[in-house]
Amino acid sequence: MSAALGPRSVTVEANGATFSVNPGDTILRAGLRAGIPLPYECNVGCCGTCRIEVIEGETEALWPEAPGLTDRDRRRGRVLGCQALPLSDVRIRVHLETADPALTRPAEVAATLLSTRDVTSDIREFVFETPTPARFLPGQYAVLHLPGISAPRAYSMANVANTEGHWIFQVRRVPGGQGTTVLFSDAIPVGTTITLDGPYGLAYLRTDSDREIVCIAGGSGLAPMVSIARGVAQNPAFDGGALHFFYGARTPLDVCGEDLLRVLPGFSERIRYEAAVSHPVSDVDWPGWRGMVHHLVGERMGERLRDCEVYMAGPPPMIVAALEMLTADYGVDPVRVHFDRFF
Amino acid sequence: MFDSLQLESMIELCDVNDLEVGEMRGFVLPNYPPIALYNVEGEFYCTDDTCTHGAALLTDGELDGQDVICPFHDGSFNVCSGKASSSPCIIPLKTHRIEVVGGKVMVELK
Repeated sequence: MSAALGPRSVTVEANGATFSVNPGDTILRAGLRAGIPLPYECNVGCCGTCRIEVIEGETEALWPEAPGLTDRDRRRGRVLGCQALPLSDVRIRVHLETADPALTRPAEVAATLLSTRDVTSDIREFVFETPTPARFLPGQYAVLHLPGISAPRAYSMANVANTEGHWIFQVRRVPGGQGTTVLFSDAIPVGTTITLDGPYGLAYLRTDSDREIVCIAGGSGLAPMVSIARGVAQNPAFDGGALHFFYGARTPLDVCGEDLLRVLPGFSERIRYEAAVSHPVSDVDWPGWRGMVHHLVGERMGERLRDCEVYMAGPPPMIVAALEMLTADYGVDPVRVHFDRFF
Repeated sequence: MFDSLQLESMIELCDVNDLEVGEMRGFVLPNYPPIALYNVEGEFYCTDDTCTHGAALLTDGELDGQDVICPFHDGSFNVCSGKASSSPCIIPLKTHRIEVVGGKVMVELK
C-alpha cells in the first residue's frame, strides 16, 4: 500500500467526527484544519502530546524514531498524530480538547519571502507574505514547508496579526540543522514561494486575564515572546498592565530583543526588559545579571510570580528549570504558565 | 514503630486487602485535592490524582508497573517518586506518605 493513492478518511471514535487527509499530510494537521480540537503542542514529533490510538486501519510515521513516542507507547499501539500518514481510512481514539473560540483555524497558504535581516550574529529575521491576511494570536507558530528538507519545520511569528499578510519569523542558526541550513543558505532567495501551514500553538496571549505578565525567552524563543509583548502593547484590554520581559543569553554578544521592545508604547514604564548572561566572556564587558535567566526572574519577581500570567519560550533546559522553579518554589498554578514544548 | 502522635494526623483510606497488586484507586477527602492510592508489588504509594499537565484524573488511566499513565495524553509519572516519566508531563506529582497499621492503609495529608 502507498500513502500517495488519494485522500483518506479519519474518524474520531469519541464523537464520530470525520475529516479527510490528503497524501503526504498528517492526521494531526488535517484534523486541526478541519476544526477538530485534537491535542498537540509541538507539531514536530518531540512533545508527545498528540499521541493517538489507531483502532482501525493503518498509518505510517513520517519520523518513526520520533522522541515523543516511548517504547511503551509503541507497545500499546500509540502513534503521534503529527507524524501519522494514513495508509487507509482509519478510526482513531483520542481525548479531544476544548477548543478556544479565539483560535483561528489553521490553513495552508502560499507564502513568498519578502525580505531578510540579521537580528544578532546567529538569529535572522525572515518576512513572508501571504495573499490573505495573517491571522494568528501573539505567541503562535506556523509550519513551513521548505524546499529540499524531508520534514516541515515549526517557527514562531515575532509580529502580530495583520491585514498585509506579513508573517515575521526569527530563526536561530543551528549548526547542521536542516531547516536553518536551507534558510541561511541562498537556497531560498527573496521572492521564493513556499507553503505556510498555520497558525498553530497553545502558548498564545490570554486576553481574559488582568494579571501582570512575565515573558521568559531564551535563544530563538525571542520571537514568540516579542509577539506576546507586541500583542499586549496594542491591545486595550491590557491598558496599563505591567509586562516583565526577561531574556536569557549565553554570552553578552547574544543578548537581544531590547530594541524591539523599546519602540513599544509604555516601554520602561509598564514594559520592562532585563537580560541574563550565563557565560560571561572576559573580553566583553557585561554589567548586567550573570547566571540563568530563571534565577533572574525569581530574584526580580519573587512572591509576585504567584499572581502573574507567565509565557515562556526557549531551549528545553531553560523551560524545565523555569517551570520547576515557578511551580515548586513559588507555587504558581501550572495553568498560568504557557509554553509549547518543542522537546 | 509509630507513635500515636504521628498516627493522629493520618487518615484511613482502606484495608490492605481492598486493593490488589497492580491496582489503583482514587479517593476524594473533604478539604483536600483528589488523591490516588497504588499497590505496586505489595507496596502502597499515594500521589495527587490530578495530572500536572492537564485536568485529568490519573486513576482513569492505567497503572503499568511503577508508572501511572494519564488517560488524556498518555504521559506518565513514577508513583513511588512522583517524578514525570514520559512526555508531555514535566512537573512532578505531589506524593503522600503511607503507613500500613493493623491491616489499614493510612495516608498523611499536609
